[in-house]
Amino acid sequence: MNKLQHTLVSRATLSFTLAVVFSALYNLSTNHLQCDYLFLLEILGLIVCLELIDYVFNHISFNSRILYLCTEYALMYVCFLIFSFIGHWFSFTSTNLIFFSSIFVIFFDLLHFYSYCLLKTEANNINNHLLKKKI
Amino acid sequence: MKLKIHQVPNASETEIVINCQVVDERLEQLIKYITQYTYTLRAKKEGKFCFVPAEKIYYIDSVDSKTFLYSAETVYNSAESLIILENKLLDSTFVRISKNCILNIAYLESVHALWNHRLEASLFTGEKLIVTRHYIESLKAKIKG
Repeated sequence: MNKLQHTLVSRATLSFTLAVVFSALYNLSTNHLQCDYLFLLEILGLIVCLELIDYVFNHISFNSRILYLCTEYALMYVCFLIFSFIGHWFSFTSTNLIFFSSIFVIFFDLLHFYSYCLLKTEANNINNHLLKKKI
Repeated sequence: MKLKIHQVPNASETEIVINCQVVDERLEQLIKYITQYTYTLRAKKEGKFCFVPAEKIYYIDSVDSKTFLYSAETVYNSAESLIILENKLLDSTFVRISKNCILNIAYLESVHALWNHRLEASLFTGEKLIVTRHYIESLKAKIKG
């Protein structure tokens, strides 16, 4: 399972991303200016932006974990709204806002849960090594 | 394992000789502890300079550009920066766990994952320290030896 997580999933995800980005760039460069291709690049831009926020936040010491999570959550949500507005992803009606914000929250929580699971595996590995040293 | 201790009153230096068939993981750990015994750190206690054996230090941290060494009884003040101490203690059981903390893994009991991409290190002394994501790999490498 660990190998599957670390090699197959990450390799498949990277290959898929590269394929999608390449095809979007290729189609845009050959004057196939459908908005789908632009949308894919906008999504990529949002992901890069969110990762940068996460990277910066990892280097800041927060007084509490809750403050860290709430600040990061709020900043990422603002970023998502800005990209949505610039890219005209949806019209800003209250129904749409609730619907797309819910999707963003679900994505954010799932990704955080996935990172937490990976870290938990890492912690178990370290604890096993510590235990071995004690025996 | 046999343990022989010879007390030589006129010996100029303590000498440890290990006779073994093979240096296994446990013996490697023991050698590390013995090596660590030779490290002493210059620090200040109540305004007076003293030399502290490294194996007595639980962890070292830096607050407002001041470096502190934590042992069971005392908190010492060091004039040296965290980077200098980190380099000095490279081959010992000390490892950097965050931008402002170096941990002696001899006192590390366990770690557990936190929601903010960090690990919480619990020491045998009951103290808890934070391991930031950037330093998890080096902690793992140090524990593996």
